[in-house]
Amino acid sequence: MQPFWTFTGVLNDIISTMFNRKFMEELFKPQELYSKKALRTVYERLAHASIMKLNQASMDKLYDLMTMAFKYQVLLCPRPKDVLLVTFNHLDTIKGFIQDSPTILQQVDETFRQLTEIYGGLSAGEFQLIRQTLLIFFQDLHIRVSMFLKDKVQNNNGRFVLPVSGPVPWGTEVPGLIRMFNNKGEEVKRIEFKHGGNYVPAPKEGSFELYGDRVLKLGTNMYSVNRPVETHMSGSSKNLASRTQESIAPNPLAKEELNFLARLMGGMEIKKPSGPEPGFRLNLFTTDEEEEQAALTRPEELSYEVINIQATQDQQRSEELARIMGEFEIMEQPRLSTSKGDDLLAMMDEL
Amino acid sequence: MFRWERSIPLRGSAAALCNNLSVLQLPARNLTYFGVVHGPSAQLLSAAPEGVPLAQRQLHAKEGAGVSPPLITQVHWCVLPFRVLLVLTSHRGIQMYESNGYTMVYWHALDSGDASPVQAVFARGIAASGHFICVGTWSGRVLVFDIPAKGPNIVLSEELAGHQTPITDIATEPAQGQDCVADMVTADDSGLLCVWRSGPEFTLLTRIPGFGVPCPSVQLWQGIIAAGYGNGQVHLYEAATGNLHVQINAHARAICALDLAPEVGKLLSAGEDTFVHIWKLSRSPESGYIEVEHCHGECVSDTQLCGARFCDSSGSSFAVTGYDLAEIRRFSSV
Repeated sequence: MQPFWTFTGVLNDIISTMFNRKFMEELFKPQELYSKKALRTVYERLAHASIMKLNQASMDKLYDLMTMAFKYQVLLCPRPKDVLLVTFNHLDTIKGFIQDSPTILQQVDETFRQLTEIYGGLSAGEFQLIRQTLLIFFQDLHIRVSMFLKDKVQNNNGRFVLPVSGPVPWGTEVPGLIRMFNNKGEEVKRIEFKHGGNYVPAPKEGSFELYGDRVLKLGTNMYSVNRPVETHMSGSSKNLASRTQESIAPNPLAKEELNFLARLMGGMEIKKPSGPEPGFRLNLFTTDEEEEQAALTRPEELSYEVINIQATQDQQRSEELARIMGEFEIMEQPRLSTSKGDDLLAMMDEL
Repeated sequence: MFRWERSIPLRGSAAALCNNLSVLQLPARNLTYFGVVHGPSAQLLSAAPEGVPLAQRQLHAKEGAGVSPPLITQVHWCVLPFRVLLVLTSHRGIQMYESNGYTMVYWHALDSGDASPVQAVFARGIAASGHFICVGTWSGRVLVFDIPAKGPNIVLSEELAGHQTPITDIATEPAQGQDCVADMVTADDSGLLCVWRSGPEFTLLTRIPGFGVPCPSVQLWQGIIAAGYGNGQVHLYEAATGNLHVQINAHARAICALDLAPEVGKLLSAGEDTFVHIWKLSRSPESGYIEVEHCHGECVSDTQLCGARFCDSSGSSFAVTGYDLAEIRRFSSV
């Protein structure tokens, strides 16, 4: 019997929503670093851009996994400019999933072109600022990921391993040499010193072209080897008091942030299926009971709040949002289960 | 040989910035002050010898327009002839406090006039030079503030032009008392160094070009400029001529901080490669050329360092901060 949904279909829906021209246009506008709440809201919307649904617990787990994987990639970038190479690795892998869809392929290539245009010419100093700013977003997140623990890239305290061996970044010399020069710039003395690491020269520079050997492995598919993935809540952050306090941030319903979200959401075009299809629910735990249990026992500090758009005080703002939300095509479907994750969608349906 | 001493806990982990640790030694009061930037807040704390924490306080950048609270770029104590001020730079402007961080005595809002929408606007790079405090900005301009012996009557006296890219760090040393002696170095994101002589008006003496990587940290000692770069190298230049005399392949990742122990000419370098190195600067007795010797290396496992300072002027102890680390790690020699 032919299944009514396919993984290809789900991937296509999510990827084409993510790379939608209007959505990308909004993303590329100069803006401040997203708040955690804003990013989580957008992410949840994207994750539901197909007939696949997730309960709150699975959604939280997926988001944790994405966050820690991305933190790992940004932290371990040998040079700040490598964040762009990591992004290109992401795009290359995504293109591998949608080989048979020329329209979506074109959208991704267009994004590639935009990335090159905007970021290709930035200086090392500008990339360093970008990387430092991204690291602020990930500060104090120490959720343990099974795959990372198994591969020994993460310690049991949730911190990532920073190896002191391997190739140095492109443009850096292997440490250990001191050269001294006279007034004419001629080398007059050379000394070696013991630097403590075990480094080797960089083999070659990764390519920033549309197609090319990126050299860097960060950002390539973590699942190319088949294995289970779990995240651990217990012992995730000993010093919970040190967690970045969002409470000192201004009201998350601040005008600018709502504007930004409205524009981003407006840029997402969710496809309506051709006939009545029941959705399917993705559970990232081994059983439904485990998923329910995870939702109940998730530590307070690690619960994500999705922005409650309906709760805005600003009358004009909510009218504008209502109009934009109305432009979405939300699928009619029987609900398999109600949970917090569905509430946002339900609200939008009722607008 | 150094041993790991008792760490000082921080309320908030250190942000991934450069030069993210300031230390104020108060030997007369048997106290040391530490300053670390967390992100939108900076943490000041005082500790007794042996690292016993005493008091702590958090400072925030002054609010302004925008979605999120402004980020702090640096916090640094400036020791002037008659007073010590704490300076805090952010994406909004420059705040100056009395040394314990309790009273704000001055606020300077940055002018973002010429900035394009894609450009980040911030102040960064703080140093005291005589009775002036110099602060760098995103545009490359260095602001020179005239500080009175006491009180809040601080005046912006000069804006130095010399850089075109954001300032990263500023280093100064007391003038040696002769003519034409450089006593200030400013560094920027392109790796360019400008060498200045302070005075009622500052004079640009030399420019030392960069080579495609930022120079996040710079120090000045007895006419020797020590510059740490984004490619992990430390360069030593003769301030009077701008000539490069020593090139050290010191770190495997970007250097994030340099510090000096002026009594003994020791240089401390910390990098994102998790290593700290201590170097001894000297001059060859025959040629007078700058020489250097490696003294010690320390690995702070799995920690991308972001700040490092000597805790005494003889260089026998030092402290480091690392990204995501909620403590100040201290080391002292045995």
